[in-house]
Amino acid sequence: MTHPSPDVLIGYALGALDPGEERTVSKHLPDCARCSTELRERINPAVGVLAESVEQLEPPPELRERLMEIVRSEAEAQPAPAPPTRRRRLRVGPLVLRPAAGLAALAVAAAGVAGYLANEGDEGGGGATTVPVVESSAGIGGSLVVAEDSAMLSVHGMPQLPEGAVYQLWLAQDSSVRPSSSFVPDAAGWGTAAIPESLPAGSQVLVSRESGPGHQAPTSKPLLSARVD
Amino acid sequence: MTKSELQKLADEDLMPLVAAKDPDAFEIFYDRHGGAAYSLAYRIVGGRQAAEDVTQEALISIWRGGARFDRARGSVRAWTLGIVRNRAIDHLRRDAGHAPNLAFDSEEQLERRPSQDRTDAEALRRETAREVRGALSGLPDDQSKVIELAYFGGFTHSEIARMLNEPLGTIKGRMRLGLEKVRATLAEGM
Repeated sequence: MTHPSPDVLIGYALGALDPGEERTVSKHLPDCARCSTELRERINPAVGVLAESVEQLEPPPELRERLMEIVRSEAEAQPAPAPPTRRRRLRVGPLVLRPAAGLAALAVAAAGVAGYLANEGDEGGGGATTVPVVESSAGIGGSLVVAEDSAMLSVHGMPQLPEGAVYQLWLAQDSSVRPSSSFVPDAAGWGTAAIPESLPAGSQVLVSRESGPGHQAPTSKPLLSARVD
Repeated sequence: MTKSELQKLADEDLMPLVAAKDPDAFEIFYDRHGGAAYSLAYRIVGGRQAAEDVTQEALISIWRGGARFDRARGSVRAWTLGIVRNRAIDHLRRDAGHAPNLAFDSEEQLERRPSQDRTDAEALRRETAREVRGALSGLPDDQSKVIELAYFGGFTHSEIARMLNEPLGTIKGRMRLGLEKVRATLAEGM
């Protein structure tokens, strides 16, 4: 394994690498304990000092008010957790998705779907889109909110992962599949992940369980699939 | 969990609750780190409105789960400020005509806010920042300049080399030496 030089690791921590170099280091780090440790224990603490060195200001109170208004309204709009069930097999009723005002239509289906395809349903009343649930082997569900330049996947019922493993998001369009963000669900099986880019109509978001971040293609069958209309 | 119970949690134990969309947990997270986040954003973008926008974008991205805190990678504070820094640099790059604010010692440029509501935690934050600035001011100018240009200006090694008309290896070497001195200062407990 070829390791980045100390200068390159320092440049990475300071955000001073060219995009190509940065991608190379980003790919290297998840698989290299030596460089990850060097970065975490020796370089990042010194870089963190720079952030703390600036003159400390009081943020305007309106900033806190705005943030909390957004946070509380989004918390209230969260789907209720699925009721506990003794059966492992799923699940009843339609999955109701809640498109945010002004956002693009979307569709999510619990998976186990051959070819990673989601079924799409009819428009429901009250501005919601209702999607029939495809039977799944695990009580997984969620929503994908698509904005102009990003999207947010919120899921529940995700099985817990062994240490180091992640749920990896993949973006599929036409015949290509590429990695996006990843997440680890909380103890209750809830998880969220942002997709920091625009999702064109016809693209799909897939979620698979992976042994760790950094894979370039799914190594297991996707558990979830969402198609952007 | 009540708010007073949440307030007793360490940052590392608070973040899973933020990830689980607990608004009270986010409020406490903001009260602990919002000031440092806004201050860093202001330092980089150099304007109040832009600093507010950057801070809001960064902290909402944390709330929405765009980034997940991993305790194996460092403290919540460092992780949060890293996200704020990246958002602020993105803002600078979008705002192509904006010159980055590059002086460490820029106190006179900064807008002051009334201080009557400052808490002990804020006072401590300010004191820590003063100590850290003192440590950084001990760096030779050529080392502090390349670090500033990278961290606060968002410039790459190659851009800094062109800007200062110096070989790339010289720039990288100065960056390494400067950061090693900062680390040594930290190790001495400032």
